[in-house]
Amino acid sequence: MNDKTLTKISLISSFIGLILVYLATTIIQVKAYDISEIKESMVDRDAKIVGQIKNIVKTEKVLILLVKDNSGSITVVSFGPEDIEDIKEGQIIEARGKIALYKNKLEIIADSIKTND
Amino acid sequence: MINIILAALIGSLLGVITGIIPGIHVNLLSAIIVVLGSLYLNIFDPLTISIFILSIAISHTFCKAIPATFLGVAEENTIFNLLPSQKMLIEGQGYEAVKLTIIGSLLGAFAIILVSPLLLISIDNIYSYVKNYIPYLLILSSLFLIYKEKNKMWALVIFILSGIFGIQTFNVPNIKEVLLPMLSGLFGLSTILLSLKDKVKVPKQNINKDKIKDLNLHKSISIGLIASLLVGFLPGLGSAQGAAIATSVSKKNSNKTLLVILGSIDTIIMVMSIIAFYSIERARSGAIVAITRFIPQFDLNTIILFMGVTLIGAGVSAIITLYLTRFIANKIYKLNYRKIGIIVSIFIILLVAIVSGPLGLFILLISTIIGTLPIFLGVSRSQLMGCLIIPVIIYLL
Repeated sequence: MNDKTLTKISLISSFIGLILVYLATTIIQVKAYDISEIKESMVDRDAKIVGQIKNIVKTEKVLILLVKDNSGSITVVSFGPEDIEDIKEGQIIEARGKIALYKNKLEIIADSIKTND
Repeated sequence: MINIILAALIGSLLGVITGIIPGIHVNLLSAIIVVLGSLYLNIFDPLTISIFILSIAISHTFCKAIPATFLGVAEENTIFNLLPSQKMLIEGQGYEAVKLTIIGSLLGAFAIILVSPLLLISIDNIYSYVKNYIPYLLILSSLFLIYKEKNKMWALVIFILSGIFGIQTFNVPNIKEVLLPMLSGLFGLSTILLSLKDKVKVPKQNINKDKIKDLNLHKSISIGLIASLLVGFLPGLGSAQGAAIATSVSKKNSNKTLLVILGSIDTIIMVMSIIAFYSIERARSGAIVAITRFIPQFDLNTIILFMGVTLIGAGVSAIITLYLTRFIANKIYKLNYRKIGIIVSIFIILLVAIVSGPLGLFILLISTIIGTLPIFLGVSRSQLMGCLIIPVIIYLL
């Protein structure tokens, strides 16, 4: 193997690496969990849950939802004002975001909230 | 995605710098990053910091061949490089020696990533079956390596002496980064001090950019992969033991083949420690311990991401290391080797004093003395790894 070939293989390696990073960050979905599966050891990981809205607290900048599925309930917090519209109690939603611990309680800081509509 | 790529690139650059600074072990660096990373958690998300750490670790495995070749300074897992690469340095082939380890590291990264799906499926089962036998496997593999020595009795003495030293050192209270003075003395300072005594004269280096002849890359990478698989999932064992096994089964091979094998082992074991944490939830390297402070659990998505980052880091650091080696090889013969040795020694002593304090300096003194013994007694320096293996055996039994 000469220097030119070694450099070429190195560039190919970085290129394949970029493809894998792209796949991992965009195409491969965040893992869906039952709410009871979410534990303190998972803080800061991305997660997706599907459940029914049991309670809604709206302020100007924050939307706080209590979401329940068959296994338990969790608070979903959204700082995105665009999520505040069109959400009602009883709706089934899919929330994606980061698991966080706030005042010793687990919650999901949502990046996106989709309704079943 | 941009933050991930930036973290991978900056991490790779930093890994090159830490790789060429003698005595900086990637575990020490990981410990520093854990402290700094905690401070920066408000700015960067945990995943970005984890990727930064991984890139440093991968890049470090590429670049540490430079001080091992040109300065005779090694970490515990580059000690086996010393003889072949320094022989080549004295023959004016230092550039080629580092290039061979780069080839090994790069192809090793490809090889382990190719077999990783198989490992992800099978390791959990294999490990749950094997884990009860780990201390006995460690005893057997250690006895095997002692048996392969010419001076078996002295090898056993060095192994046990290192083990007692390791047990005592790990029991020293209130000391930071105890591995730093222990490993720097055993494998770093002792080598430099002996090279100062020998008054080594480094000849002008030949920068051979052409094809390296007589390389059996398939065989080299296969040996590297198998040796890494044998030790990569066992506690207390790592690339040093992998290298020892690979060296013992490939003694008939040329220095060139051996350097490719040794280069591959470091990178393979780094990637294996990612797989090990995912499959059996055991952190097998300092870098992975550091990463788990920020991401307590890996999922399949994280593994794919880390594999991608590994390949980016491998590609970037291979190119940088190659060019850096060319630069250093062009200058090294002009430099006063003795002066470099003295500067590096002072650097290691200062680093230990700052990080581990006066107790660390005492450990450095003892470990340096022990580190010189294998050379005087005609024993492989791998026996010094008793300082890690014996405490692990005692802990597991």
